[in-house]
Amino acid sequence: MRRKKLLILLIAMAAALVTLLTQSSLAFYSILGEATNVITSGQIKCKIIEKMGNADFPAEGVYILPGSTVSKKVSVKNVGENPFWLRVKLKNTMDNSTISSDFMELDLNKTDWIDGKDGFFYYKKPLEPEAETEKLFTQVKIAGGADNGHSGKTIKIAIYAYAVQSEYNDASSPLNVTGWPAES
Amino acid sequence: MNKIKKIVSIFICAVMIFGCLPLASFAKDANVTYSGNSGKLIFKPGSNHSPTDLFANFKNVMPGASLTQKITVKNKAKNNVKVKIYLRSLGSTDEKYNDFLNQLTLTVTEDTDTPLFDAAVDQTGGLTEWVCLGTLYSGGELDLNVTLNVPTTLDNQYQNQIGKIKWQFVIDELPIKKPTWKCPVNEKHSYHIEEIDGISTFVCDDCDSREPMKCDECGGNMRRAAVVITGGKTYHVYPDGNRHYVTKDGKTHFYVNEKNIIDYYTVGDKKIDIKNVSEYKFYDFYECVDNEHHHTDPRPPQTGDPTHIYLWLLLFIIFIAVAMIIATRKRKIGKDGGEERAKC
Repeated sequence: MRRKKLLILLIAMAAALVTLLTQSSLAFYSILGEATNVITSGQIKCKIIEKMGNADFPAEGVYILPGSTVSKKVSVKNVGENPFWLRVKLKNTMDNSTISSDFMELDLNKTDWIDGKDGFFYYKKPLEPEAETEKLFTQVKIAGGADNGHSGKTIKIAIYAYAVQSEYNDASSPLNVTGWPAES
Repeated sequence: MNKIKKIVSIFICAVMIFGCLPLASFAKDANVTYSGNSGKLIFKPGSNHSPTDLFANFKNVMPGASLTQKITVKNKAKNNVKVKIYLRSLGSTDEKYNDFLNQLTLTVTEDTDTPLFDAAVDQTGGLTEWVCLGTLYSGGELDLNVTLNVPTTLDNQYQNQIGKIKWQFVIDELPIKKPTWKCPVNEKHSYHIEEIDGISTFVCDDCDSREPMKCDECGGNMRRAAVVITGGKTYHVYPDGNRHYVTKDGKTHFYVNEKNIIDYYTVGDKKIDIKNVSEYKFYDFYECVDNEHHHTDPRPPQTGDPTHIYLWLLLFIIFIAVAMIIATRKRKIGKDGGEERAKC
């Protein structure tokens, strides 16, 4: 019995020795390392800025009288990390009805913006991150001849900004840019 | 007049240097570094999303982009060791990333035109199985060029998305062995190694015995060669009549005249002087004639560390042996004690 155990012990030690020898004929070391590689997609974000003088335009609106002019400075800021082309649509309504341009006049900036004649005003150059456009308009003038039928009405100037990336989207003019988002 | 010219030259140089700076800092290179002695692999640069992130240039990607990422694998082991480097991809780390990653395509190439990987990012493609990237000697480097293509069809739903893929690297560190031989006539005979018909052959100094040197891995014939590492790149140097040619990955890069190579077959602090090579590291070695097998063999172990597996096995056997010895001794003591008690 004792001899049998001794034999097992010897076999175990021989196996250990073989293991050591086998090991020495293999690679000295083998190392596994894992890399978790990450891809992230960018985004474009813009913010419409409306000012009255140097303050924010009041959310509740302002009272206006025929013949008066109201300060309303409209611009758009790139608040994302990527540059974009920009176009803006204005929807002017009085109690949900379209307003005649004879009744209300905006001093549109035609130096930095292009009237695309398709309902959009296009900013001439791509807007870089953190940059702000020149003002699209700075004031709203109500015609002096407005009668009592216009009193107590609510005029809304809704501003819709549409942006599309300018990287890998070269164009000689913003009017030729493709990939604009669908109108809301 | 000369002074004006000098000022203008300095100004132009300054403009050129500073003009290049933004370009240089835009593309970030990534590194996988092995420092030897079974140390961990170090992945740089990492990112906020993952400390082992190698895709530094693939952040904030936009539709239409085609971006590249150079990944350099470096063997910085101090001792003269060669390592084999293997790579495989496990694909996307989570199913939630698949939709986004499936929109993008990735190409991974080494120095050859044939890509190692060319598929959608969430796939494992040509990197499903281990791929041997090559053998690197201490100080050597190899480059992987990764290109990410983002289609213009990637629409708004994929804005501000994130996707993660896992790559595994394995480094097998191998010793640079000095070939030895025993003369079959008499083991005590001295011998030298000769290149006979381009094959490294053991030749006995005392009798006519000779035997071609055989590759440990495939049994193929061996040839004497040298490895020159310069600028992080590893080149092989082979004799060719009275000149030598320098190759990398099977492609001949340049020829060197014999007179420009000094004792390059001798291991040690001998010099090698190759034209156009200013700094170098030099390793003498024998290489299988069918060198391609080094690049195509699949990695045998699929997971874990084979050295550790053997060590655990060894420890287990030792444990069994020690346990048996203790058990035998205890039984003996018990038996003796029993006899004592019987006597009482």
